[in-house]
Amino acid sequence: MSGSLKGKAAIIATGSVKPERKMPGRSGLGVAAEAAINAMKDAALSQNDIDGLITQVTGETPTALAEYLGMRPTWSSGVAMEGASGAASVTMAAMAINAGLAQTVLCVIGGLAPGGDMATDSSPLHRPQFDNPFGPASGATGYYALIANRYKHEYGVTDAQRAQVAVQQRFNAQANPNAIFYGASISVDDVVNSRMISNPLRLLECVMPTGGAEAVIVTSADRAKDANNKPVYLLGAGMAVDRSTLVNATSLTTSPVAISAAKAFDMAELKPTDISMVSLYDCYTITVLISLEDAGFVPKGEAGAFVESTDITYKGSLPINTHGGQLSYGQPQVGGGMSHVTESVRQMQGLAGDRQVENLDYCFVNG
Amino acid sequence: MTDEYNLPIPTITTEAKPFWDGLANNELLIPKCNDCGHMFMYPKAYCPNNGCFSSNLDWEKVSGVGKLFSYTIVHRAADVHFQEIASQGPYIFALVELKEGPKLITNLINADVNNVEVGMSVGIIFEKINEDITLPKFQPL
Ligand SMILES: [Zn+2]
Repeated sequence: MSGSLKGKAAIIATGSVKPERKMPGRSGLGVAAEAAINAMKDAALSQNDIDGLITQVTGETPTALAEYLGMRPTWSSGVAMEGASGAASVTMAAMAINAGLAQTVLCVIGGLAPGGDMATDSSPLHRPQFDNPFGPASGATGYYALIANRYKHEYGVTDAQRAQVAVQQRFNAQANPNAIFYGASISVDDVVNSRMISNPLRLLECVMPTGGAEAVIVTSADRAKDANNKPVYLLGAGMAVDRSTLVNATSLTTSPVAISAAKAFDMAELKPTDISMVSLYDCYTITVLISLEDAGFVPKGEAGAFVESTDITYKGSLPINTHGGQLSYGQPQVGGGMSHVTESVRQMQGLAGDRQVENLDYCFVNG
Repeated sequence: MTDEYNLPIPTITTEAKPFWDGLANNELLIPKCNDCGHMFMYPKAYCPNNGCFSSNLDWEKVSGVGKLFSYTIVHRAADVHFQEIASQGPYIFALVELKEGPKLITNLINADVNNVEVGMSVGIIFEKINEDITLPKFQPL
């Protein structure tokens, strides 16, 4: 296939910072640097071994992080795909490597927890002008609530079905000491009785914003052979951008994942039934259900029934979000999306500890 | 709203000013392309219809009638003053699809929160905040 990145690059290391609500005395750059250093230590590489840098650190530039780390990359880029930045950064790294522009690329995403509750989109064209006068719910909850109610209208899903996503991911987090909700199991009853935020979404269906950062190191397939860890090869990648606001969404109930996943499977020459483990962006419970369908794992409209009748924990038949997902691991800013990448790599490397999934062939990650 | 209005008011951009001026005159004006007829939100300087590129745009006065595309009953608001309202009784944050096609984020008012349905017919209510600002809200028809 022309333009294919299949097998051209591999992730050889990961680095994470344990998500926390408050990180007194720390800076966003400092937290991102910690994740980057953890990844370099994991790969037994130093700054001078790395010639490419892709970052999104809230409010900071890639050059600022390079300087903070004492790094002088000869190829660099920011990435601004919101929750998809993690998966996108890996794709971009593979592109740069495949084009011969870089050999080994560090991807780092994260920052400190947001200060307040106010919607953070600063573009005056959108929220401050057209949404905020009508009182959206805290964070992005109001928008995903609109999605959830529309989904309920078109396909039907019960509160208890959505709750399964939160409950089973929380089970996974009990095997992840870095998860913010480690040591705090929940039941379906807990979820459907938790405080209503913006109907139908309740507190335990909403992501917990934290500080933190996640990093990976990507290198060429050739160089990956010499890596000190098991390389995890990128076999397929796809992107799709649909909209910034719901007003112009093609659909509220079919996401751009329908396009990006199909492109990724196409490049990899694989199909959903080949996949042993799934890591889906999960700012809210409803997001997991829609992505599960759009990526092709479950027919449209059936994800609610699927998660109710299927063990989706790390012990189950289709493990989903084995680190707990952002719902239970925490959402370290846009680094939350990258946590799906770092977790999947550790699983593929056999380094996932108590929550290790056995017999992994291929893993699917989205953002 | 007899007291000082303390909820967020729109930060009006140059491209969108005629939209807000229209509302101040109790008219809902939606951008329309004079070349291809496409109507769209949000206001912008160029027609977003594929391949049109036109800057020959106008403002079309529309009916203010549409359907409730989706809604959510807000219990925990982002804004502190909206939260004061929500704590007295939840309100409805809504996405309305106008008869003419474009969608708007708005509030559904004069509605029973226990009796709201996706797809219900709604019509505009002009809620005057001050001389410059009138908010487009909707109520069940
Ligand atoms: Zn046009």
